[in-house]
Formats: sequence, structure tokens, C-alpha cells
Amino acid sequence: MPLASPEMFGQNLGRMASKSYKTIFGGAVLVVFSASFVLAQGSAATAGAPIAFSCGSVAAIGASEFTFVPIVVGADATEPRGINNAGVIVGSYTNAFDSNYGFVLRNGVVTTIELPNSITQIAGINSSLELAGDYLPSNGRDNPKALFSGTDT
Amino acid sequence: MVGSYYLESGYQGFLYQGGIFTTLSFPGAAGTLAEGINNQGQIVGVWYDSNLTDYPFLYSDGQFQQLPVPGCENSGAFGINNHGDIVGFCSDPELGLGFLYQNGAFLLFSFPGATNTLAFGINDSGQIVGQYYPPGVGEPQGFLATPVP
Repeated sequence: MPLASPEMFGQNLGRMASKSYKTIFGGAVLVVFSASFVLAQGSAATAGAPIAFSCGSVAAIGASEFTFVPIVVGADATEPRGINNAGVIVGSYTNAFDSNYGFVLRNGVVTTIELPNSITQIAGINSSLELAGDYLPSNGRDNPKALFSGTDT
Repeated sequence: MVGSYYLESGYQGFLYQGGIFTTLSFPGAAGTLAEGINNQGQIVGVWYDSNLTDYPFLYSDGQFQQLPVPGCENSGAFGINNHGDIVGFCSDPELGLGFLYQNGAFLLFSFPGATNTLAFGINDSGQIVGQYYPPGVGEPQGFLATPVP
């Protein structure tokens, strides 16, 4: 697993039983914790050549131009969800086996984020490299999604 | 941090700040999803009516505001940066576009050649990330859009 400290994670999983959370969420289990991830698994990002694009071809209001670069991570779908002011991009991807993982794209290198035995999705990152996302334990399809946060070290 | 949870009655948004959860429900909505927040605490998201039509909102200074995107049947907001620039999607049954709301105006855009484009996040440099659907039966892929100076 690409998580540095299963022990720390285990402790935090213990918080999932927090009664106050359960009360707030009407039975849904929710966990919020901070942990330092050591990102051990990585591969190069596949990014195509920049494509210049003018918005004039659609009903654009306001004059602006962007350069678009595809972000392709893994063999299947890619879903970037957030970008911080340093340009670090986070999101999720699906591999050929339809497994879902979180990713961090930083300085051209993709690091996979996978919470143990879970479908992991990363939703956001801030300037302090703190990540937020959710995960769905794969050992029980009836388990609700849970939230997590952590810090990209 | 913002997010959403699902009850039998529909989605509810939430704000998690200082160890406290606060529910976010757009007035009169059948459901609310909180999708993005900036350092000023401004929150953007999607609310939907009983017909499951989506609309974007901005929650700022304790007040919900609608963000009607011109010409869009379905739309929603996903990201906001510290300048108050907002990104999201605008779609009808045949075409989906990303939008950027900046300086009081909407800019609609598409990844080149894509049938559907969604913008999820924007940073303070105006860089936008999102997802596009290639023509045909391709799986959705990501994009980074950087403003040309």
C-alpha cells in the first residue's frame, strides 16, 4: 500500500465510530483525519502536446484564450478535480480493471493515492498540499463513502 | 472543506471548518451539493429542483446567490479561486461546455474537438482543470487549461 503508516491510519479509522459523526450524518460513517502520506508509487504522466484553442467558436462571452493540455493517467478514464496555486493537480483515474485510484500530479510526476483496499478519489488540494477526498472500502459494497484528508509530503 | 452527503430526501451540502460541520441547503432546492471553497470562505456548488435540473450557486457572506449561465439548460459550479473566479459546466442534451465566470461575465469553452467539457477547479493563476469526452465512445480524460497572456 502506498501509505506510510498503517498504524496511524488504523488509529484514524478508529475514529470512524465516532458517535457524534454518526449522529450528524444520519447513520453515515464519516472520518476526517490528518496524516502524512509518503507517496511511494508513481509513474510518469502522459501528457500530449499543448493545443492552442480560441473560444471564438462557441458562444463565448468575453475574449480569452487558453492552451489546453490533455491529462491522461492510467489506462482508462481520468478525472482531475483540483489544482492549487503551485500547479499541483489532484483527481482520480480508472485503470483497465475498472479500479479507481486517487492521483497527485506534481512537477510532471503522477503519484497514486490508494487508501487500503478502497476505491479512492481525491477532490481537492490547497496551497499547503493538504488533500481532501473520499474512499469506499471495497470489502463491503454497502459501506458508505467516507471522507479523508491528508498531507502530500 | 466542503462536500455533500446523501439522505433519502436528496443531497445536502456541508462545510467542515474548525471541527464543526454546517449543513448547506439552497433555499427551496430538492438537493444541494457543495463543490468548492476558497480562502475567503466563498462556496460554490450545484442545487437541483424537483425536475432534477441543475443550477450553480455561490454562497458568500452567509447568503446563497444564483449564478444563471446564459443559454444553459443544466449547469453547475465546481470550483472557485481566491479572486472569486468560478468554473463549472453548462450542458444541454447535445453539447456540454465548461464555463468560467470572471469579472461578471461568463466564458463558455470546450476542449478542442470534445463533445462534452466540464471544468472542476481553478487556481489563482487562472489555470483550470477538468474533464472532456473525446468524440465517439472514448472514456473521459482530463485537461489542464492555461490562460494565454
